[in-house]
Amino acid sequence: MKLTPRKQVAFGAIALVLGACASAPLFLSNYPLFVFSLAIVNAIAVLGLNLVMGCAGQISLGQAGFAAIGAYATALLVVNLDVSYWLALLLGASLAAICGYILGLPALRLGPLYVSMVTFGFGLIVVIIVQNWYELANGPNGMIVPPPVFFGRELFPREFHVAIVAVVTLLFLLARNIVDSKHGRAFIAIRESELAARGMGVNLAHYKTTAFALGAFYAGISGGLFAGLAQFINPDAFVFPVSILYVTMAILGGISTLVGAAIGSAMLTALPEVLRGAAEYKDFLTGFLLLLLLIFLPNGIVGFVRQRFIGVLPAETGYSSSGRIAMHDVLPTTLHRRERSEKETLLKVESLSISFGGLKALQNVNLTLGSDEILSIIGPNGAGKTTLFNLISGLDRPTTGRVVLDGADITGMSAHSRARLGIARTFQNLDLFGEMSALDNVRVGAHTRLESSLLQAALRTGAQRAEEARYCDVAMDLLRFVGLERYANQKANSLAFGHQRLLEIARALASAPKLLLLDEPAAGLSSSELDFLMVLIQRIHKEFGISVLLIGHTMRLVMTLSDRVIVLDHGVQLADGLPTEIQRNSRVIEAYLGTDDA
Amino acid sequence: MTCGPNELVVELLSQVLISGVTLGSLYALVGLGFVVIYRATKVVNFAQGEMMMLGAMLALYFYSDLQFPYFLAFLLAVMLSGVFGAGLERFAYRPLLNAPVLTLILATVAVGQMIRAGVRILRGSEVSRFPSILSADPFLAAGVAVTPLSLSIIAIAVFLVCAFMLFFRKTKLGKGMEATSENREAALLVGISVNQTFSLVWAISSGLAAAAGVLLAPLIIITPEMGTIGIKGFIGAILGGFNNIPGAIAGCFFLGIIENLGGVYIASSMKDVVSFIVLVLVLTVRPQGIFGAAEGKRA
Repeated sequence: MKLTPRKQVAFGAIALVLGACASAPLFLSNYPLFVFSLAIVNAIAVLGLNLVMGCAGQISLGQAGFAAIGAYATALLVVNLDVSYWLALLLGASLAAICGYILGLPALRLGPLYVSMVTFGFGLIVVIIVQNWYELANGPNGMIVPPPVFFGRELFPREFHVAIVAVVTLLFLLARNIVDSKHGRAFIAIRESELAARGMGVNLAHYKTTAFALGAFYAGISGGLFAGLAQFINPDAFVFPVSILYVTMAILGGISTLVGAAIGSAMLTALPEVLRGAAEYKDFLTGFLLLLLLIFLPNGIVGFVRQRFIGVLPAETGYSSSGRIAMHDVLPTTLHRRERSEKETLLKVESLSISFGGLKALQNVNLTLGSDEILSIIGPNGAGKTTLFNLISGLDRPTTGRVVLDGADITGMSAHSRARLGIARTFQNLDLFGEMSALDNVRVGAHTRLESSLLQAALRTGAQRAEEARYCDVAMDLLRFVGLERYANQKANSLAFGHQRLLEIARALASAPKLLLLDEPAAGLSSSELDFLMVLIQRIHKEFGISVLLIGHTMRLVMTLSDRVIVLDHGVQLADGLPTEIQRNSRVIEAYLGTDDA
Repeated sequence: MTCGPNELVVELLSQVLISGVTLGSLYALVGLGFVVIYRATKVVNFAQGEMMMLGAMLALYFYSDLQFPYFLAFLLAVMLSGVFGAGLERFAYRPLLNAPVLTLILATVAVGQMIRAGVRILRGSEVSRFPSILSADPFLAAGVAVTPLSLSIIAIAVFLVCAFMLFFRKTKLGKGMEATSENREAALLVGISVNQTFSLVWAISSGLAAAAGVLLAPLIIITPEMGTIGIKGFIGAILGGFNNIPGAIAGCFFLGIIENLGGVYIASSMKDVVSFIVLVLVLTVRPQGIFGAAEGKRA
C-alpha cells in the first residue's frame, strides 16, 4: 500500500523517537537513564488514562492505585512464589484490570460525580491497605524487588531500559489499534453522547467497564515495570498526588491523543530533575500547572499544535480522523434490498402508556407498521411523539403496553439490543458525535455490524482489517448517498445544520436497519433541502426496502411521503388513516387549531 | 464499679455512638458544603477537604501563634476561608464555567493539591495539636460517658447546619441559590446575578468546611493531609442522597456511626476502607442514596 505524505512523516517521526529511546543506554549515564526509563514507565500509566478519560470520557482519579496493584502483585509473585518477572508483570496487570472492571460497574448508572469519587476512594484504599498490612509487604517500610530476570540472567538497568522501550512500543501499538477500531469509536461515541451511542447499538455497560479495565491494565503494567526498575516499592510511590500527576501528564500532552502521553510524561518526569532545588514545590507546581492547563490549554500540547498547524500536511478527502481511506465504489449495494411481502407486519405497538411523575405522556397508543410502509406521526408540540420514539427505540421503558418487532416482544430489551435487531433512529435536536469526523460518525452507526473482538482489534488481525475496511467503504458510500462525501473528514459539529440532519440519516442507515425512525427530519431545513430530503427518504424506502416511521411538522413532507398518518395529541391517539382522510378529520383539525403550534 | 459483660457492651456501644455522632456532625458540615456547590454547579469539589484543613490551620495560627481569643480565631478562620473560597471561584472556576464537568472536577483536584502543598511549604509537614478549649475528660450523663468537648462540637455543628438551612430556605439570597442551581439561564432572566450567586455559594461552602475544620481540630492531629477526612462529608452526603439536603445530613451522621463501629469491630486503621465499601455497596443497590428520591428522567 502506498503511503501518503502524512503517514510518511508520522512513520519517520516514530522511528526516530523509538531509535533515540532504545539507544539511550549507549550515551546516558546511570541516573539520567533511570529518569528516562521512569518517564517511559509513567507514559504507560498515562496511556491508560488517555483510553479511559481521553477516549471514553470517564473520569479516573485512581490511576496510581491500579499501578500499586500491578507493582505489588508483580513484586509479591516474584519474591514469594518465584514466578518469572514477565509472567508476574502480566498477572499483576490483569489483576489491576479486574479491579478496574469491577470499579467500572458503578460507572454504568452513575454520573461523573460518583465515578470521580469511587475512583478517588479506590486509590486511597489501596494505599491504606498496603500501609497497614505489614505481613503482606512490610507496610510503610516497603519491599525490595529483585532485578528482573530474562532467560536466566539478571538484567542490568541498561538492558531493562531496552525492554521497557519494547513494552511501551507494544502497548502503544495496541492502544492505537484499539482506538482505530469499532471499540475505540464506541468509546469516543460514549464520551460525545451516551444517548446517541445507545441508539447506535453501543452497549454502554460493556464499553464503560472495558475502558476502565483497559486503563487499569496499562496502569498495572506501569506499576509492575516500576517495581522492576526501582527494585524497591513502598506505598508512597502510589499516593493520590501521583494519580494527579498522571492526570496532569495526560492533559499536558493532550488527553485525547496517544502521542500526548509520551510528551506529557517525558516533560513532567524530567521537570523535577531540572528544578532540583525546588523539590518541596513539586506538588504545588503540579497542581498549579494542571489548573493553568485546564483553563488555557485544555487540549494539551498536541491539541494546540494540531489546531495551530493543521493543513501543513495535506489531508485528502475520504480520510477518517484515523487516516483510513475508502477505496472502492460499492454504491448502491451497500445496503442490500430486503426481501419482503406486502402484508407482513414489521412493528406492532400495543396499548403503550408511560408517565413521568404525574404527567401521562402517552396513553394507550396502538400502531402497526407494515414492512412496506412509510407511517407518519403528527401532532402538536408535547403530544408525545418523541416519547413514542424513545419507547420504540428502547431509550425509555413504558409503564404498560408492548412493543413487538417481527413478531417478537422487545418491550424489555435494551436500546443497544434493539439497534442490533434493526431499529435505527435520528434525533429531533440532533445528537451527533460532535468531535468525530462525519465519516467516523457513520462508522459508529455500523457498530452492530462489525464482529471483531477487542483482542482482534488490538492485534489488528487480517479479518479485522478487512472488516474495518469494508465498513469504512460502506460509511463512505452512505455519505455519498446523502451528498456529504466532501465533508467526510470534517468534524460533525463543524457541519452546517442541514448537513448535520443528513449525517444523522446516514449514520442511522449504516446499521442496515429494518426500521428507520426519523424524528422531525425536516425541521430547520430550507425548501430545497426539503426537496432533497424527500427524494432521499423515498429512495431509502424503495431502494433499500427500509420501513420508515416519521415524525413531522412539515405538511408537505408528511402528506407526500406517507402511506398512513397517525395523529397524537396530549399523549392520546386521535386518528389513524390515509393522509387524505386525516386532512379532513374534524377532531384532528380541532386539535391543531386549538393550539398555537400548528 | 463492677460491670457485667452486657453492661460493658452497652457502654462500649454508647461510646461508639457518641463519637460517631460527633464525627457525623462534622461530616454533615463539610457534606453540606459539598451539596451546596454540587447543586449550584454540578461540580464535586475535591478541594473541600483542603478548605477544612485550611480552616483548622488558620484557627491554629490565630489562636496559638497570635494568641487571639478562641472565638475571634474561629470567626477569622471561617471568614478568611470564605473569602478564599470566593476568590477561588473567581479565578480558578469561573473561567471554566462552560467547560465539561470533568474539567471542572479536575480543576478542584488541582486546587486541592495546591492548597495542601502550599500549606506544607508554609508550615512544614510538622504535626500540630490544637489546644483543647473544653475539657476532654468524660462525665457521666444518663449512664453514658460524654466529654464537654464532643458535646460542644455537636451543638455548634448542629447549630450551624440549622442556621444554614434557615438561610437557604427563608432568605432571598438562599432562594436565589436554589433557583440558580435549578436553571442557570432562567435565574439570570429573572434578575439573579449568577456570578454573584456562585461567589456566595463557594464562599458559604468554604466557610462551612472551615468551621468543621476548626471544630475537628482538637480531636485529631493537624497536618496538611488532614483534608482527606473532609471527603467523608461527601461520602455521607452521597449515602444520604445528594438531591435531598436533610437526607444528605442524615447520611453524614449515619456514616460517622458506621465508621466508628467498623473502627471498633474491624480495625481502627480500616475506618476509611469501611466508609468506601459502604459507599460502593449503597451506590450499587440504591444509586440515589438511602433517603434520596429517584430522579425522574426524560430522554
